[in-house]
Amino acid sequence: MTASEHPEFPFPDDRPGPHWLDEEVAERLLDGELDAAGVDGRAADLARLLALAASEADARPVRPDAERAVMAAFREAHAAGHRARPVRAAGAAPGRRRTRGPRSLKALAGGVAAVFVLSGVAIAAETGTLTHPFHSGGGTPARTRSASPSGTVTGSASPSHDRPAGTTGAPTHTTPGSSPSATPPSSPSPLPGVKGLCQSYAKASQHGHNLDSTAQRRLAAAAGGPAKIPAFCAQFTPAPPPGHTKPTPTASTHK
Amino acid sequence: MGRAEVRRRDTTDDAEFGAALAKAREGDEAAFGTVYRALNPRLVGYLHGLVGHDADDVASETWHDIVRGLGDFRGEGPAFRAWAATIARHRALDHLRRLKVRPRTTELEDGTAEPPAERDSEGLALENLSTAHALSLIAELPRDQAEAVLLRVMLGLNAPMAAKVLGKQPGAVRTAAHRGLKRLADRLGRTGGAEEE
Repeated sequence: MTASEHPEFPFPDDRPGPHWLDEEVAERLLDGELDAAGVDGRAADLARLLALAASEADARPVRPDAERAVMAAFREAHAAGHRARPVRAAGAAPGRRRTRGPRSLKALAGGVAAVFVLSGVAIAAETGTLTHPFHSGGGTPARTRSASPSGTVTGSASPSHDRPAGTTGAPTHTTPGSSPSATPPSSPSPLPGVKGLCQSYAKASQHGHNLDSTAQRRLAAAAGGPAKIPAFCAQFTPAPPPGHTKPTPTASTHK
Repeated sequence: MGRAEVRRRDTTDDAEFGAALAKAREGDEAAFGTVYRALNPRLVGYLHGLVGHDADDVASETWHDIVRGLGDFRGEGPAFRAWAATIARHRALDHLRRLKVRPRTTELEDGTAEPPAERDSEGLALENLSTAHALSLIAELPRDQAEAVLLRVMLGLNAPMAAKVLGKQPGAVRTAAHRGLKRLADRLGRTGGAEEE
């Protein structure tokens, strides 16, 4: 048998193998149980080929970075301990499940912040300090916005399953002027000094003056726009325009 | 390359590995390191037949899954290897889907991408076969054959276990592996497919 007798390529799969490569020899080869001694030389060569492949795999250089990452993942998984869900062998690769952790935490944090904002306003309304926390201008403001995870979370597709280290880009819901209506304080709590600013604004208006630009800007920012300042300040100022009567605000700076 | 290395060593079969596996399940980091270093090369070897040069990356992804399931895994060395191989295979198929690349084509079967002619005409003398080529030679088999051979050679799985990993009948996997061996023997150029009668 020489190479010159080599059959035409490709070697058809459905033909029987060469006589020396029968079922039993093949199985022993695959099980790594074929010893070179006492077998056909060609079977021994095949055995050696398989052994070479295995030792080639074993001889591959270790990648320290990969090993470090895996060890870190091991520590993390063990720290998570029994909370870890079992990974079913035949199931779908469970890889992505955990990456949602940080994301939902962030969403939760945003939601909590939003609830705080809303409830703060609501409490203020209940206690009578704000008669109309959401001025009836049209549509409900901030609520829907805060419910949606507007802060886009970059779902890292990297296999280095990140832990919730994230201080970056957490969705802080300070949505300025999100609604077209006269939305009152859009920051978590009425800005300190807003009441004073409004009083100054009212005083200045009464005298036909303008506030200085800095104060005006701050007030406009708080109100959601220069045009909304009057409506905004109406909630805080003791002397509203004629026709309105409002209780004197005291605890509007609800912290 | 000596004849003595015909018999493959399976580092993941001995008692040491079993003990390490048990400790790793309890959270022993050093033990887990032992498990990783013993099994990862073989996992990469198997993955080489699926994703080629991306094998290392896919293996890393695989281990991230393994560590999360390890605490709940019950089984000895072979079952563990089969479990790891299953995860690796899922990861590899995911990877191929991500790449939008067809899983390794059966280039030897469809004849559209035949290997270099000199290999065919002259075969490969084992003496010329460097270690760098042995694995690629297997990886070049049609995928079902490559997988069947590699699961058994690299991960030491028997036919039923390999079949479970592949989601096939043991007989089919055995046949695929045998066909792979025939091809390899053919490549070595010393078999004489001419002897088929």
